[in-house]
Amino acid sequence: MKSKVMGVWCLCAAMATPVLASDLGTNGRLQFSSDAIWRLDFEDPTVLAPLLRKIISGSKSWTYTAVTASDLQPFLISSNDALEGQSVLHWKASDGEGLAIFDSTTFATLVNQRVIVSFWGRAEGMEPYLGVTYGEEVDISTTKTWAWARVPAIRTGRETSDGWVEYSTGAIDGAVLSKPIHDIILSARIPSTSDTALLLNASDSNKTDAISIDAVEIRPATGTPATGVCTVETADGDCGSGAECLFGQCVDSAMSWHPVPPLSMQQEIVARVVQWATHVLGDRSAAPHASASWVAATMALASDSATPKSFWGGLNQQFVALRDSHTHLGAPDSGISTPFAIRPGRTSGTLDVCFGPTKNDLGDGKLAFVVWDKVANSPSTMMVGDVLSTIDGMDPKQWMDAVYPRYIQSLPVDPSSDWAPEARDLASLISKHAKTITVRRCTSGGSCTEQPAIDVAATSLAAIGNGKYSIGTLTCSPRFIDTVSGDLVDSGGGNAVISTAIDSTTVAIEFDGFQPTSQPTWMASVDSAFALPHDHVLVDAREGFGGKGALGRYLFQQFRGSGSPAVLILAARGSMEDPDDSSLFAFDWSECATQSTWECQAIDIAIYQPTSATPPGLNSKVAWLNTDDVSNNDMVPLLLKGRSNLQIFAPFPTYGAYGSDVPIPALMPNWHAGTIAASDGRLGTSIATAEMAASCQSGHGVVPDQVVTQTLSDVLAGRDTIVQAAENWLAQ
Amino acid sequence: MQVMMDAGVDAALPAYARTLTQKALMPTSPNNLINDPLIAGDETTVHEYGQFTAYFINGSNIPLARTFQSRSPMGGAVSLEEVRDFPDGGTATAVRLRNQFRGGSGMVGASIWISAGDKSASPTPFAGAASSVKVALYDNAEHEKTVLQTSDDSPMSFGDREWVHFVTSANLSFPAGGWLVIDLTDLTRTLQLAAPEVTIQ
Repeated sequence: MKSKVMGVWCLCAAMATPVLASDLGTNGRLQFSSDAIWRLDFEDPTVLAPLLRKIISGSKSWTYTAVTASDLQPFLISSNDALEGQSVLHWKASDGEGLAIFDSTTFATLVNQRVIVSFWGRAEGMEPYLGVTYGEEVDISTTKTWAWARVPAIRTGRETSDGWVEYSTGAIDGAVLSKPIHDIILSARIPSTSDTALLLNASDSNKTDAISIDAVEIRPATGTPATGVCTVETADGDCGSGAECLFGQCVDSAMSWHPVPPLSMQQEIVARVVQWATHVLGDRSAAPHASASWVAATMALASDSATPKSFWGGLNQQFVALRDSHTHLGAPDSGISTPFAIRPGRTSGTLDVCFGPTKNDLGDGKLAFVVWDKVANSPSTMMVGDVLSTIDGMDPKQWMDAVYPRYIQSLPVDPSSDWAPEARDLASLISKHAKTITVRRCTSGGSCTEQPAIDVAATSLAAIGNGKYSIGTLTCSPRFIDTVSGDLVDSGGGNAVISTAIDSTTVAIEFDGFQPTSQPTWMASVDSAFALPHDHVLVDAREGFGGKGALGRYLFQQFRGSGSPAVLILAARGSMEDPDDSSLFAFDWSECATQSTWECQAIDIAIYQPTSATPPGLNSKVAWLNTDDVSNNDMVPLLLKGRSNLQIFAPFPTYGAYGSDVPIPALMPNWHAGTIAASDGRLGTSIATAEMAASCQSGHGVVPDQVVTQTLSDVLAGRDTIVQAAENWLAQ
Repeated sequence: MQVMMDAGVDAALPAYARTLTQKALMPTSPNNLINDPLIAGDETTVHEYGQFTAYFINGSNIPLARTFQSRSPMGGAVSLEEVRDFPDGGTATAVRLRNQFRGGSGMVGASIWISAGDKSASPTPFAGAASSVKVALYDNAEHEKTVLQTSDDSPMSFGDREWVHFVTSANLSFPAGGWLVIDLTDLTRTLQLAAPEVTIQ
């Protein structure tokens, strides 16, 4: 029975009927769930006003602002087609960023249970969005770019014949590491190329785009919130299958992966992924990895008992198992930054240090992860030159090989280059997922001692607490020392090319890839380098994220002339069944060099070939430095390798991903779209010989002419081993 | 604690004709040979392999625009492609959207949903636009192989829009793949497109 007391409705009788989600009554009107513990409809603005705050903007930041009943009245639309009751919330793009529900009294009662937050919405140009935000007041940054955690509601598949769609978070914890729900955001996803843009963070060009929202409710869910301490290696036992181990603590995996969809949608997702991997994947080296057993394991991820970790985390590992640098799942996006974001990155992490792949010439002579950089006020006691000895009691490389694939989006096609991305992302990864590490400290004389264990988890929790979110101030790089000083990021956040004369005959060029904000500016920067003395050229491409094919061609064409041509042609899959089906070679690819016919476009032909007999770098003596290089940063050195008077210096081969990638649809709303390798490269000395090449190139990275690895003794001495080797060769 | 804020009682409200339905996540088959079933494309005019591209026939590329609508044959909040707000096309008189599909053994079937609007994209009856809309499958040599026909149950109304389902009437073989092509020859009209699908039977 229901009774109304001062505007608040209570269910005062114990439930005798089965627990049901909100459902349509026989009169076609939505009825709240019989077990709801909190409900909100949009009937009476005087009841709503104390609970809601308007989100008012600026660019990427906003404030929560109190509203009155009269403020709310225009957004409550009464109509006979309301879903629940007589009116709904109707919000246009021009009305602001959205509303936030604040009910700290109720939210405080949920901290020791799991709950389901759901609503019904209708897209009228934008998609309705509900995000459950966690944190104490101190955890919500004033600019709102950071929050403790946020989980969006996702579609359940239940809809009405007039366009109302049910959304739910599924079962989520009522608190995250004891931080309660702070607010529930009601906003919208707007049409965008990224597919993840929210009205909170971006504006919708069509101001009449709108959403309708009704019947927000919170229901109890079975189980108890994730709790306890853990290590990432023992997380399933420590935390159960529904939690990730982050900062040494069990954390509901929905905070990192977003909710898991209903079984029918899971089945749809895995079937689509299998179709892409078995019929679209164009990397000839990776395609065989989508074997029958891989397909079976992928399909088996769909389950009634799936958790965000088992389904999304499992699917991520299946993508990574394909071993294709151009193929990945995408990533969830909450519209905020959160310490529980799933992907590791290049930041120096909560310890504020960076590691590099280093030959331990003061120890066993093997490769090791060594501290290459740290900030002066790092919370860590580590010092530059410290050799990582153990992570949670394991050999660091073994720990990385086990843990990294769970969270990274892809691994190099060529496993022999794994050290490069692992070293780059190590600081970020251990910040989130390691509990304890140990390091060994050596003197330049070769005397080494083990240091006391470092409690990474405690350091990290302190670093992210109280709204600080100190996740690292350095960007970790595979360059021990930059060859050229300057900013490698252009004004729009893309890649820049920087250069300098390092002596009277030598120009050094440094860049991180081929993805600038402006292609003409990037090309002009290359031209500027060749305006300097360039009898000798030192190209520092040790960080290389790939990018625009046109720019890869442009750089290659500066160094290689048509007199000694190397030609690389990228081509997509011939047919569904056979990547190298005969139809692929049924026409002369040379036509694609001069015109973009449908025939060429159908298999995504892209040709890299010299265009000049006398390019500016033709006669230069060139030292090309690699370390962490993929895609265009595979292809350009591949095309240059073997040119006279050119040597490639690197500790490892490149990733071995010679091709292009294309977007795949985001598997869920509020996920960034992933990509899939569309094509692979064939190498020759002409278009004809490349088309007739016996096999594609992917799978094996460009092997350095001179294998040179940074040494520990050089780290301690502040010397860059690779640059020194290159300069010595140039001077010969 | 069981607390409800302003939870109304609906028993007194008049009945409303709506039913509950179950929808899939995506509007097309997982086996769709079209790599871009949401016509996400690129809002710039840069063409990416596997993505829909739009252009004036014999003219420049046109940015793609999207919208989220729950009231459509697809339901959910699936993104729809909007063919609208054309830039100056010079002397061009027609707009084309196309995307390639991979080939293989077996017979190919195709379909797509289309809704018509006036120049400002407000909905109009499809019959008025029917003669200016053509959906076809082409081979890689740019030859039209078959024209898709409207299904018997078209048009269907969702909200204030009429939607027409174009489907292949006979399945054809495309061992080397081909192209799904949508032409609009009346630039005073606009279109919404959804759920492009090409499958091998």
